[in-house]
Amino acid sequence: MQAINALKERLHEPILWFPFPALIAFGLVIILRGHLLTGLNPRLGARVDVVQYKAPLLQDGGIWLGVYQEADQVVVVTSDRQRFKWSLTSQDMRELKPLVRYLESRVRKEAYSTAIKMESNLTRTTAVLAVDQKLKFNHLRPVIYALAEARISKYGFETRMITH
Amino acid sequence: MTASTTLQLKISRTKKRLSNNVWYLPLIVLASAGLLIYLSSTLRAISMAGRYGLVEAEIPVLAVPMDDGTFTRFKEQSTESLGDRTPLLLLTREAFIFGTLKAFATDLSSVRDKFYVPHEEGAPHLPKLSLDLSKWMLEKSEESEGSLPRVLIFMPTEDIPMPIVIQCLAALKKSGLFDKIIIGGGLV
Repeated sequence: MQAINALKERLHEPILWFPFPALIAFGLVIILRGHLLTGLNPRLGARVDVVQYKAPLLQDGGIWLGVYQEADQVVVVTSDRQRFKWSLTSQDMRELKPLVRYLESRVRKEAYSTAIKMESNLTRTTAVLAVDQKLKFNHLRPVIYALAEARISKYGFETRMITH
Repeated sequence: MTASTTLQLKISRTKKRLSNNVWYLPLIVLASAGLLIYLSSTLRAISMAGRYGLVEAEIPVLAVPMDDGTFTRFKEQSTESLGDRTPLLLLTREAFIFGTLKAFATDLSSVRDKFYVPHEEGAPHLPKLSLDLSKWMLEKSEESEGSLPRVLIFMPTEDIPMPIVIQCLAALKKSGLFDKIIIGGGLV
């Protein structure tokens, strides 16, 4: 009788931990999905607000570069999370050297791939510039020079397309 | 009451007292706040626009003919080349100014060989520009030297915002007057 009373006493206490396993599982799914999306989409994490304009559809696979302004510097982020910076008012081409080296290495990789596969894809050697709306043309000019230095002849500006 | 009953009553009351302690509430609040922060960043990730467009431009390359010693004897042909008669379009804060490359290279201040399309209420007047460009190209094609190349050198001045540059570039491509558009760095 005492044991039964004790059991009843214990069972009357509320079990407050039961939602936590579900919440933990839900949180893990959201975190995992967030990390995967961060890895796949180069635009996440780059503070680039591109212009909204209906243009021919962008094919995946190009050399994506996000260009935006941070304090008094122009920042270029790439699809593999590399960052290059130089001053807004800088006229020194030497500050572009790291970006040029990066672009040259991308082009070289693509050239090897083309030679080995014996097929070329024009999209993969096209540079896609996602330019923040706050920038002016003189801020972007060094990036175009860097593309020319890296022997990239085709490039384009990314626009956001909103479907109605 | 027996001693064991009293003891059991004490145990039971102690258990109740302990279960009334809400020490886990701050943990729940912190965990919920952390989850909400992470949810907001992942919702940002999944709500990003899925469709993007591309407004293309080109950088001209210098042709270096190379002999192909293989069986195919491949020789790359250039599609267009830049010359004196290549159209050039200058975008300033006040207007579009267009002419041939020779007109800008030889006598920049001359107004006889350049055409002026002022902006309308501070914004580029793209329909008028397309119309004037097509009329000019038609007139040029009737000259003895033949039609103008279908390449345009588009040169915005340095203080033009990038959205304006991109939209002008897209409009020029859409006009169908040019196959290739090159963005120039500036006049030296």
